[in-house]
Amino acid sequence: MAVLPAIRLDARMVARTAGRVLLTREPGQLWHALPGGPVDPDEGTQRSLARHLGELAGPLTGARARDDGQTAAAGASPGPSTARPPAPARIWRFVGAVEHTGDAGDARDADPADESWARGTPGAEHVLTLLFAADWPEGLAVPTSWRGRDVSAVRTDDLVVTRLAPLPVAWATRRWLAQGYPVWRSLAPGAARAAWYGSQPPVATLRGQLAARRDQLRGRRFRDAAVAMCALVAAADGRIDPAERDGLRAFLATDPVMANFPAAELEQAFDAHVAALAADADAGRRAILADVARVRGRPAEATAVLRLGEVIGRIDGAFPPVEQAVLAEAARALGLDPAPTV
Amino acid sequence: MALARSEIDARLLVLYENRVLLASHRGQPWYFLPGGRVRPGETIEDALRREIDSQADLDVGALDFVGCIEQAYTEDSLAIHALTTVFTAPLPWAAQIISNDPGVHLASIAIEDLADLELRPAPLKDMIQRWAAGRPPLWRTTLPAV
Repeated sequence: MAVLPAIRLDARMVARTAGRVLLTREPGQLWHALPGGPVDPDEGTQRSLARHLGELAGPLTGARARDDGQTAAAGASPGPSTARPPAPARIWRFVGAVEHTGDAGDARDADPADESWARGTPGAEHVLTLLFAADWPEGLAVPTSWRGRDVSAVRTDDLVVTRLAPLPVAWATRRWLAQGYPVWRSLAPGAARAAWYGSQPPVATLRGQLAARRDQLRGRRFRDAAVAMCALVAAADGRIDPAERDGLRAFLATDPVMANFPAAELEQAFDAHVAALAADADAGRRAILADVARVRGRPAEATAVLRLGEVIGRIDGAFPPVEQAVLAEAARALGLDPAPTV
Repeated sequence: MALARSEIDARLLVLYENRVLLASHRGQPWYFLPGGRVRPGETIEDALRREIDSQADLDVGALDFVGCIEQAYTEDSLAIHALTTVFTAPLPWAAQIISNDPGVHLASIAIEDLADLELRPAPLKDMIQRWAAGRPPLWRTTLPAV
Protein backbone atom coordinates (compact mmCIF):
# COMPACT_ATOMS: atom_id res chain seq x y z
CA MET A 1 0.00 0.00 0.00
CA ALA A 2 1.37 3.35 -1.01
CA VAL A 3 2.01 5.78 1.82
CA LEU A 4 0.13 9.01 1.26
CA PRO A 5 2.34 12.06 1.58
CA ALA A 6 1.09 15.03 3.55
CA ILE A 7 2.00 17.28 0.67
CA ARG A 8 1.97 16.25 -2.98
CA LEU A 9 4.93 17.43 -5.02
CA ASP A 10 4.36 18.86 -8.47
CA ALA A 11 6.83 20.24 -11.00
CA ARG A 12 6.03 22.82 -13.69
CA MET A 13 8.00 24.53 -16.42
CA VAL A 14 8.07 28.22 -17.29
CA ALA A 15 9.11 27.90 -20.94
CA ARG A 16 10.10 31.27 -22.39
CA THR A 17 10.44 32.18 -26.01
CA ALA A 18 10.92 35.66 -27.46
CA GLY A 19 9.11 37.56 -24.72
CA ARG A 20 6.41 34.93 -24.39
CA VAL A 21 5.62 32.05 -22.07
CA LEU A 22 4.17 28.69 -23.16
CA LEU A 23 0.85 27.94 -21.49
CA THR A 24 -1.47 24.99 -21.99
CA ARG A 25 -5.20 24.55 -21.61
CA GLU A 26 -7.90 22.03 -22.33
CA PRO A 27 -9.59 22.80 -25.64
CA GLY A 28 -12.58 25.04 -24.93
CA GLN A 29 -11.48 25.85 -21.38
CA LEU A 30 -10.73 29.35 -20.12
CA TRP A 31 -8.00 28.60 -17.65
CA HIS A 32 -4.39 27.90 -18.58
CA ALA A 33 -1.79 25.91 -16.69
CA LEU A 34 1.97 25.63 -16.99
CA PRO A 35 3.12 22.36 -18.56
CA GLY A 36 4.28 19.73 -16.07
CA GLY A 37 2.75 17.36 -13.55
CA PRO A 38 3.14 15.35 -10.35
CA VAL A 39 6.59 14.32 -9.13
CA ASP A 40 7.10 10.56 -9.06
CA PRO A 41 9.19 9.77 -5.96
CA ASP A 42 11.10 7.11 -7.89
CA GLU A 43 12.16 9.55 -10.59
CA GLY A 44 12.69 12.72 -8.65
CA THR A 45 11.63 16.20 -9.63
CA GLN A 46 13.54 16.90 -12.81
CA ARG A 47 13.15 13.51 -14.46
CA SER A 48 9.43 13.60 -13.66
CA LEU A 49 9.15 17.05 -15.18
CA ALA A 50 11.09 15.99 -18.29
CA ARG A 51 8.75 13.02 -18.70
CA HIS A 52 5.64 15.18 -18.32
CA LEU A 53 6.99 17.69 -20.82
CA GLY A 54 7.25 14.92 -23.41
CA GLU A 55 7.76 16.47 -26.81
CA LEU A 56 8.38 19.86 -25.20
CA ALA A 57 11.31 18.50 -23.20
CA GLY A 58 13.84 18.12 -26.03
CA PRO A 59 14.06 21.74 -27.12
CA LEU A 60 13.92 22.95 -23.51
CA THR A 61 16.76 20.73 -22.38
CA GLY A 62 18.84 21.28 -25.49
CA ALA A 63 19.12 25.00 -24.96
CA ARG A 64 22.47 26.39 -23.94
CA ALA A 65 23.30 26.71 -20.30
CA ARG A 66 23.36 30.18 -18.87
CA ASP A 67 26.23 30.77 -16.56
CA ASP A 68 24.38 32.90 -14.07
CA GLY A 69 24.97 30.86 -10.97
CA GLN A 70 21.33 29.87 -10.81
CA THR A 71 21.66 26.70 -12.80
CA ALA A 72 20.83 23.67 -10.75
CA ALA A 73 23.95 21.54 -10.92
CA ALA A 74 23.64 18.01 -9.64
CA GLY A 75 25.34 18.32 -6.30
CA ALA A 76 26.58 14.80 -5.74
CA SER A 77 27.43 13.48 -9.18
CA PRO A 78 30.84 14.77 -10.11
CA GLY A 79 31.35 11.76 -12.38
CA PRO A 80 32.67 11.89 -15.95
CA SER A 81 30.00 13.85 -17.75
CA THR A 82 31.92 15.75 -20.38
CA ALA A 83 30.78 13.63 -23.33
CA ARG A 84 27.09 13.63 -22.38
CA PRO A 85 24.53 16.11 -23.65
CA PRO A 86 23.73 18.79 -21.12
CA ALA A 87 21.38 17.40 -18.47
CA PRO A 88 18.22 19.35 -17.61
CA ALA A 89 19.65 19.88 -14.14
CA ARG A 90 22.42 21.99 -15.62
CA ILE A 91 20.31 24.34 -17.64
CA TRP A 92 16.93 24.64 -15.98
CA ARG A 93 16.71 27.66 -13.80
CA PHE A 94 15.02 27.48 -10.44
CA VAL A 95 11.96 29.74 -10.38
CA GLY A 96 10.82 28.85 -6.90
CA ALA A 97 8.46 26.80 -4.77
CA VAL A 98 4.77 27.46 -4.24
CA GLU A 99 2.66 25.84 -1.56
CA HIS A 100 -1.02 25.81 -2.45
CA THR A 101 -4.24 23.84 -2.36
CA GLY A 102 -5.94 22.04 -5.18
CA ASP A 103 -4.82 19.91 -8.03
CA ALA A 104 -1.90 21.93 -9.37
CA GLY A 105 -3.16 23.35 -12.55
CA ASP A 106 -6.08 21.44 -13.93
CA ALA A 107 -8.80 23.90 -13.12
CA ARG A 108 -12.09 22.86 -14.64
CA ASP A 109 -15.33 24.63 -13.80
CA ALA A 110 -13.34 26.64 -11.31
CA ASP A 111 -14.97 29.67 -9.79
CA PRO A 112 -12.42 32.40 -9.18
CA ALA A 113 -14.83 34.02 -6.73
CA ASP A 114 -14.50 31.03 -4.46
CA GLU A 115 -12.48 31.83 -1.38
CA SER A 116 -10.30 28.76 -1.73
CA TRP A 117 -9.37 29.88 -5.22
CA ALA A 118 -6.87 32.38 -3.91
CA ARG A 119 -4.93 29.54 -2.29
CA GLY A 120 -4.88 27.38 -5.39
CA THR A 121 -7.37 25.49 -7.42
CA PRO A 122 -10.25 24.25 -5.29
CA GLY A 123 -9.49 20.74 -4.21
CA ALA A 124 -8.66 18.47 -1.36
CA GLU A 125 -4.92 18.37 -1.97
CA HIS A 126 -2.08 20.21 -0.33
CA VAL A 127 0.48 20.72 -3.08
CA LEU A 128 4.03 22.02 -3.28
CA THR A 129 4.76 23.07 -6.85
CA LEU A 130 8.43 23.33 -7.83
CA LEU A 131 8.91 25.74 -10.71
CA PHE A 132 11.72 25.72 -13.23
CA ALA A 133 12.38 27.82 -16.30
CA ALA A 134 14.06 27.15 -19.62
CA ASP A 135 14.23 28.91 -22.97
CA TRP A 136 12.50 27.53 -26.02
CA PRO A 137 14.97 27.92 -28.91
CA GLU A 138 14.13 30.92 -31.06
CA GLY A 139 13.16 30.00 -34.59
CA LEU A 140 11.85 26.57 -33.59
CA ALA A 141 8.11 26.18 -34.05
CA VAL A 142 6.14 25.67 -30.86
CA PRO A 143 3.89 22.56 -30.99
CA THR A 144 0.19 23.41 -31.08
CA SER A 145 -0.76 20.72 -28.62
CA TRP A 146 0.66 18.98 -25.57
CA ARG A 147 -1.05 15.95 -24.04
CA GLY A 148 -4.33 16.80 -25.71
CA ARG A 149 -4.16 20.37 -24.47
CA ASP A 150 -3.80 23.45 -26.64
CA VAL A 151 -0.45 25.21 -26.34
CA SER A 152 -0.27 28.95 -26.66
CA ALA A 153 2.60 31.40 -26.37
CA VAL A 154 1.32 34.27 -24.24
CA ARG A 155 3.18 37.56 -24.14
CA THR A 156 4.87 38.05 -20.77
CA ASP A 157 3.27 41.50 -20.53
CA ASP A 158 -0.17 39.93 -20.96
CA LEU A 159 0.30 37.34 -18.20
CA VAL A 160 -1.24 39.63 -15.62
CA VAL A 161 -4.55 39.48 -17.51
CA THR A 162 -4.24 35.80 -18.52
CA ARG A 163 -6.21 33.18 -16.66
CA LEU A 164 -3.43 30.99 -15.32
CA ALA A 165 -4.15 28.48 -12.57
CA PRO A 166 -3.46 27.91 -9.77
CA LEU A 167 -3.30 31.61 -8.91
CA PRO A 168 -0.40 31.25 -6.43
CA VAL A 169 1.65 29.60 -9.19
CA ALA A 170 0.66 32.36 -11.61
CA TRP A 171 1.71 34.97 -9.04
CA ALA A 172 5.10 33.30 -8.52
CA THR A 173 5.64 32.97 -12.28
CA ARG A 174 4.91 36.64 -12.92
CA ARG A 175 7.10 37.71 -10.04
CA TRP A 176 10.02 35.62 -11.23
CA LEU A 177 9.64 36.89 -14.80
CA ALA A 178 9.71 40.46 -13.49
CA GLN A 179 12.52 40.12 -10.95
CA GLY A 180 14.46 36.99 -11.88
CA TYR A 181 14.79 36.07 -8.20
CA PRO A 182 13.60 32.63 -7.00
CA VAL A 183 10.28 32.88 -5.23
CA TRP A 184 8.82 31.22 -2.15
CA ARG A 185 5.10 31.42 -1.55
CA SER A 186 3.58 29.77 1.49
CA LEU A 187 0.05 28.66 2.14
CA ALA A 188 -1.97 30.66 4.64
CA PRO A 189 -1.97 28.93 8.04
CA GLY A 190 -5.11 26.87 8.41
CA ALA A 191 -5.45 26.39 4.67
CA ALA A 192 -3.31 23.26 4.83
CA ARG A 193 -5.65 21.78 7.36
CA ALA A 194 -8.60 22.82 5.24
CA ALA A 195 -7.00 21.14 2.24
CA TRP A 196 -6.40 17.98 4.23
CA TYR A 197 -9.90 17.76 5.66
CA GLY A 198 -11.88 19.50 2.96
CA SER A 199 -13.92 22.51 3.85
CA GLN A 200 -13.81 22.00 7.64
CA PRO A 201 -17.53 21.74 8.24
CA PRO A 202 -18.64 22.40 11.80
CA VAL A 203 -18.80 19.40 14.13
CA ALA A 204 -22.61 19.68 14.22
CA THR A 205 -22.70 19.28 10.43
CA LEU A 206 -20.43 16.24 10.57
CA ARG A 207 -22.62 14.64 13.21
CA GLY A 208 -25.70 15.46 11.17
CA GLN A 209 -24.20 13.82 8.09
CA LEU A 210 -23.38 10.73 10.10
CA ALA A 211 -26.83 10.66 11.70
CA ALA A 212 -28.46 10.80 8.26
CA ARG A 213 -26.77 7.52 7.44
CA ARG A 214 -27.33 5.77 10.71
CA ASP A 215 -29.57 3.14 9.15
CA GLN A 216 -26.62 1.95 7.06
CA LEU A 217 -24.37 1.92 10.09
CA ARG A 218 -25.78 -0.86 12.22
CA GLY A 219 -23.43 -3.80 11.62
CA ARG A 220 -21.01 -5.36 14.11
CA ARG A 221 -18.03 -4.54 11.92
CA PHE A 222 -18.95 -0.88 11.93
CA ARG A 223 -19.47 -0.96 15.69
CA ASP A 224 -16.04 -2.50 16.27
CA ALA A 225 -14.33 -0.12 13.88
CA ALA A 226 -16.11 2.91 15.34
CA VAL A 227 -15.19 2.06 18.94
CA ALA A 228 -11.60 1.39 17.87
CA MET A 229 -11.55 4.79 16.17
CA CYS A 230 -12.75 6.45 19.40
CA ALA A 231 -9.93 4.80 21.32
CA LEU A 232 -7.36 5.69 18.65
CA VAL A 233 -8.19 9.40 18.62
CA ALA A 234 -8.59 9.59 22.40
CA ALA A 235 -5.18 7.99 22.89
CA ALA A 236 -3.53 10.04 20.13
CA ASP A 237 -1.49 12.09 22.57
CA GLY A 238 -0.19 8.93 24.23
CA ARG A 239 -2.59 8.77 27.15
CA ILE A 240 -6.27 8.76 28.04
CA ASP A 241 -7.11 10.72 31.14
CA PRO A 242 -10.28 10.15 33.21
CA ALA A 243 -11.97 13.32 31.92
CA GLU A 244 -11.37 12.24 28.33
CA ARG A 245 -12.78 8.82 29.14
CA ASP A 246 -15.92 10.23 30.73
CA GLY A 247 -16.34 12.58 27.77
CA LEU A 248 -16.14 9.69 25.34
CA ARG A 249 -18.61 7.66 27.40
CA ALA A 250 -21.04 10.57 27.17
CA PHE A 251 -20.35 10.85 23.45
CA LEU A 252 -21.01 7.14 22.85
CA ALA A 253 -24.26 7.34 24.83
CA THR A 254 -25.66 10.40 23.06
CA ASP A 255 -24.33 10.22 19.50
CA PRO A 256 -27.19 9.40 17.14
CA VAL A 257 -25.12 6.82 15.26
CA MET A 258 -23.48 5.18 18.25
CA ALA A 259 -26.84 5.07 20.04
CA ASN A 260 -27.68 2.28 17.58
CA PHE A 261 -25.66 -0.02 19.81
CA PRO A 262 -26.17 -0.97 23.47
CA ALA A 263 -24.09 1.44 25.55
CA ALA A 264 -22.70 -1.32 27.76
CA GLU A 265 -21.30 -3.15 24.71
CA LEU A 266 -19.57 -0.01 23.48
CA GLU A 267 -18.07 0.84 26.83
CA GLN A 268 -16.82 -2.66 27.30
CA ALA A 269 -15.12 -2.65 23.90
CA PHE A 270 -13.68 0.81 24.50
CA ASP A 271 -12.34 -0.13 27.92
CA ALA A 272 -10.75 -3.26 26.43
CA HIS A 273 -8.85 -1.11 23.93
CA VAL A 274 -7.72 1.26 26.66
CA ALA A 275 -6.55 -1.64 28.81
CA ALA A 276 -4.66 -3.14 25.86
CA LEU A 277 -3.00 0.22 25.19
CA ALA A 278 -2.01 0.54 28.82
CA ALA A 279 -0.53 -2.99 28.86
CA ASP A 280 1.43 -2.66 25.63
CA ALA A 281 1.09 0.56 23.66
CA ASP A 282 2.36 -0.83 20.35
CA ALA A 283 0.41 -4.09 20.44
CA GLY A 284 -2.70 -2.22 21.61
CA ARG A 285 -2.36 0.22 18.77
CA ARG A 286 -1.98 -2.57 16.23
CA ALA A 287 -5.10 -4.28 17.58
CA ILE A 288 -7.01 -1.00 17.34
CA LEU A 289 -5.93 -0.39 13.75
CA ALA A 290 -6.88 -3.98 12.89
CA ASP A 291 -10.37 -3.31 14.26
CA VAL A 292 -10.60 -0.05 12.33
CA ALA A 293 -9.60 -1.95 9.20
CA ARG A 294 -12.59 -4.29 9.61
CA VAL A 295 -14.66 -1.92 7.43
CA ARG A 296 -11.95 -1.60 4.81
CA GLY A 297 -13.47 -2.10 1.36
CA ARG A 298 -16.89 -0.84 2.54
CA PRO A 299 -16.73 2.80 1.47
CA ALA A 300 -19.84 4.09 3.28
CA GLU A 301 -18.84 2.55 6.59
CA ALA A 302 -15.15 3.34 6.24
CA THR A 303 -15.91 6.99 5.47
CA ALA A 304 -18.31 7.14 8.41
CA VAL A 305 -15.64 5.75 10.75
CA LEU A 306 -13.18 8.43 9.61
CA ARG A 307 -15.79 11.15 10.02
CA LEU A 308 -16.53 9.84 13.48
CA GLY A 309 -12.85 10.12 14.32
CA GLU A 310 -12.86 13.70 13.10
CA VAL A 311 -15.93 14.51 15.22
CA ILE A 312 -14.22 13.11 18.30
CA GLY A 313 -10.99 14.88 17.46
CA ARG A 314 -12.68 18.25 17.05
CA ILE A 315 -15.42 18.01 19.63
CA ASP A 316 -13.29 19.72 22.26
CA GLY A 317 -12.53 22.58 19.89
CA ALA A 318 -8.87 21.72 19.33
CA PHE A 319 -7.64 19.38 16.65
CA PRO A 320 -3.92 19.04 17.26
CA PRO A 321 -1.54 17.53 14.68
CA VAL A 322 -1.17 14.29 16.68
CA GLU A 323 -4.89 13.67 16.34
CA GLN A 324 -4.78 14.58 12.67
CA ALA A 325 -1.90 12.15 12.24
CA VAL A 326 -3.81 9.20 13.78
CA LEU A 327 -6.73 10.00 11.48
CA ALA A 328 -4.39 9.86 8.52
CA GLU A 329 -3.06 6.56 9.85
CA ALA A 330 -6.61 5.22 10.19
CA ALA A 331 -7.38 6.41 6.66
CA ARG A 332 -4.44 4.38 5.40
CA ALA A 333 -5.59 1.33 7.36
CA LEU A 334 -8.96 1.78 5.66
CA GLY A 335 -7.37 2.17 2.24
CA LEU A 336 -8.98 5.61 1.91
CA ASP A 337 -7.77 8.97 0.84
CA PRO A 338 -7.45 10.99 4.07
CA ALA A 339 -9.86 13.59 2.74
CA PRO A 340 -12.94 11.51 1.94
CA THR A 341 -16.01 13.13 0.52
CA VAL A 342 -19.27 12.36 2.26
CA MET B 1 8.53 -4.43 -3.20
CA ALA B 2 9.65 -1.28 -1.52
CA LEU B 3 7.46 1.61 -2.55
CA ALA B 4 9.00 5.02 -2.94
CA ARG B 5 7.43 7.93 -1.13
CA SER B 6 8.17 11.61 -0.80
CA GLU B 7 8.99 13.30 2.49
CA ILE B 8 9.21 17.04 2.93
CA ASP B 9 11.15 18.64 5.73
CA ALA B 10 11.75 22.25 6.70
CA ARG B 11 15.08 23.56 8.05
CA LEU B 12 16.20 26.83 9.55
CA LEU B 13 19.43 28.59 8.67
CA VAL B 14 20.50 31.13 11.29
CA LEU B 15 23.45 33.30 10.31
CA TYR B 16 24.98 35.92 12.55
CA GLU B 17 28.34 37.65 12.52
CA ASN B 18 29.63 35.27 9.87
CA ARG B 19 28.68 32.23 11.89
CA VAL B 20 26.04 29.60 11.30
CA LEU B 21 23.93 27.67 13.80
CA LEU B 22 24.31 23.92 13.20
CA ALA B 23 22.85 20.92 14.99
CA SER B 24 24.41 17.50 15.51
CA HIS B 25 23.39 14.29 17.20
CA ARG B 26 25.60 13.66 20.19
CA GLY B 27 28.29 11.18 19.24
CA GLN B 28 27.81 11.69 15.49
CA PRO B 29 30.40 13.52 13.39
CA TRP B 30 27.99 15.17 10.94
CA TYR B 31 25.92 18.33 11.21
CA PHE B 32 22.49 19.39 10.01
CA LEU B 33 20.20 22.38 10.24
CA PRO B 34 17.58 22.46 13.00
CA GLY B 35 14.06 21.64 11.79
CA GLY B 36 12.17 18.53 10.84
CA ARG B 37 9.50 16.76 8.88
CA VAL B 38 6.28 18.40 7.72
CA ARG B 39 3.25 16.57 9.11
CA PRO B 40 -0.12 16.11 7.46
CA GLY B 41 -2.33 19.15 7.82
CA GLU B 42 0.34 21.73 8.57
CA THR B 43 2.03 24.17 6.26
CA ILE B 44 5.76 24.01 5.67
CA GLU B 45 6.37 27.19 7.66
CA ASP B 46 4.15 25.93 10.50
CA ALA B 47 6.21 22.74 10.63
CA LEU B 48 9.44 24.73 10.80
CA ARG B 49 8.19 26.89 13.67
CA ARG B 50 6.88 23.86 15.56
CA GLU B 51 10.17 21.99 15.20
CA ILE B 52 12.30 25.00 16.12
CA ASP B 53 10.06 25.65 19.09
CA SER B 54 10.61 22.13 20.38
CA GLN B 55 14.34 21.96 19.63
CA ALA B 56 15.63 25.34 20.72
CA ASP B 57 14.42 28.37 22.62
CA LEU B 58 14.39 30.50 19.52
CA ASP B 59 11.48 32.76 18.71
CA VAL B 60 11.61 32.87 14.93
CA GLY B 61 10.15 35.87 13.11
CA ALA B 62 9.77 36.39 9.38
CA LEU B 63 11.32 33.71 7.20
CA ASP B 64 13.32 34.11 3.99
CA PHE B 65 13.57 31.33 1.43
CA VAL B 66 17.09 29.91 0.93
CA GLY B 67 16.32 27.03 -1.41
CA CYS B 68 15.42 23.37 -1.81
CA ILE B 69 17.55 20.22 -1.69
CA GLU B 70 16.27 16.99 -3.20
CA GLN B 71 17.81 13.63 -2.35
CA ALA B 72 16.94 9.95 -2.23
CA TYR B 73 17.87 7.47 0.46
CA THR B 74 16.75 4.12 1.84
CA GLU B 75 15.23 3.71 5.27
CA ASP B 76 14.20 0.24 6.50
CA SER B 77 14.48 -1.01 2.89
CA LEU B 78 11.98 1.67 1.87
CA ALA B 79 13.09 4.11 -0.81
CA ILE B 80 12.52 7.67 0.39
CA HIS B 81 12.45 10.68 -1.88
CA ALA B 82 13.19 13.66 0.32
CA LEU B 83 12.77 17.35 -0.32
CA THR B 84 14.40 19.69 2.18
CA THR B 85 13.13 23.26 2.19
CA VAL B 86 15.56 25.71 3.77
CA PHE B 87 14.59 29.07 5.26
CA THR B 88 16.51 31.70 7.14
CA ALA B 89 15.57 34.07 9.92
CA PRO B 90 17.60 36.63 11.83
CA LEU B 91 18.76 35.57 15.27
CA PRO B 92 16.39 37.14 17.78
CA TRP B 93 17.89 39.76 20.03
CA ALA B 94 19.49 38.25 23.16
CA ALA B 95 18.65 34.72 22.01
CA GLN B 96 20.07 31.89 24.05
CA ILE B 97 21.36 29.04 21.95
CA ILE B 98 20.23 26.12 24.04
CA SER B 99 19.07 22.77 22.77
CA ASN B 100 15.87 21.48 24.35
CA ASP B 101 16.62 18.00 23.09
CA PRO B 102 19.31 16.21 25.15
CA GLY B 103 20.24 14.12 22.09
CA VAL B 104 20.88 17.15 19.91
CA HIS B 105 23.82 19.49 20.28
CA LEU B 106 23.63 23.03 18.87
CA ALA B 107 26.84 24.74 17.85
CA SER B 108 27.80 28.06 16.35
CA ILE B 109 30.30 27.47 13.53
CA ALA B 110 32.28 30.07 11.58
CA ILE B 111 31.40 30.05 7.86
CA GLU B 112 35.05 29.58 6.91
CA ASP B 113 35.23 26.43 9.07
CA LEU B 114 32.32 24.79 7.19
CA ALA B 115 34.70 23.40 4.56
CA ASP B 116 36.11 20.85 7.02
CA LEU B 117 32.74 19.60 8.27
CA GLU B 118 30.35 16.97 7.03
CA LEU B 119 26.88 18.37 6.50
CA ARG B 120 23.72 16.43 5.70
CA PRO B 121 22.25 16.64 3.17
CA ALA B 122 25.60 17.14 1.43
CA PRO B 123 24.57 20.05 -0.86
CA LEU B 124 23.73 22.08 2.26
CA LYS B 125 27.34 23.22 2.68
CA ASP B 126 27.47 24.86 -0.73
CA MET B 127 23.99 26.31 -0.23
CA ILE B 128 24.96 27.94 3.08
CA GLN B 129 28.23 29.31 1.69
CA ARG B 130 26.50 30.78 -1.35
CA TRP B 131 23.68 32.25 0.71
CA ALA B 132 26.19 33.81 3.12
CA ALA B 133 27.93 35.32 0.06
CA GLY B 134 24.67 37.01 -0.96
CA ARG B 135 23.56 34.64 -3.73
CA PRO B 136 19.89 33.99 -4.57
CA PRO B 137 17.89 30.93 -3.43
CA LEU B 138 19.03 27.65 -4.98
CA TRP B 139 17.75 24.32 -6.17
CA ARG B 140 20.08 21.37 -5.53
CA THR B 141 19.49 17.72 -6.25
CA THR B 142 21.56 14.60 -5.75
CA LEU B 143 19.30 12.62 -8.09
CA PRO B 144 20.27 11.89 -11.68
CA ALA B 145 18.71 14.52 -13.88
CA VAL B 146 18.11 12.38 -16.96
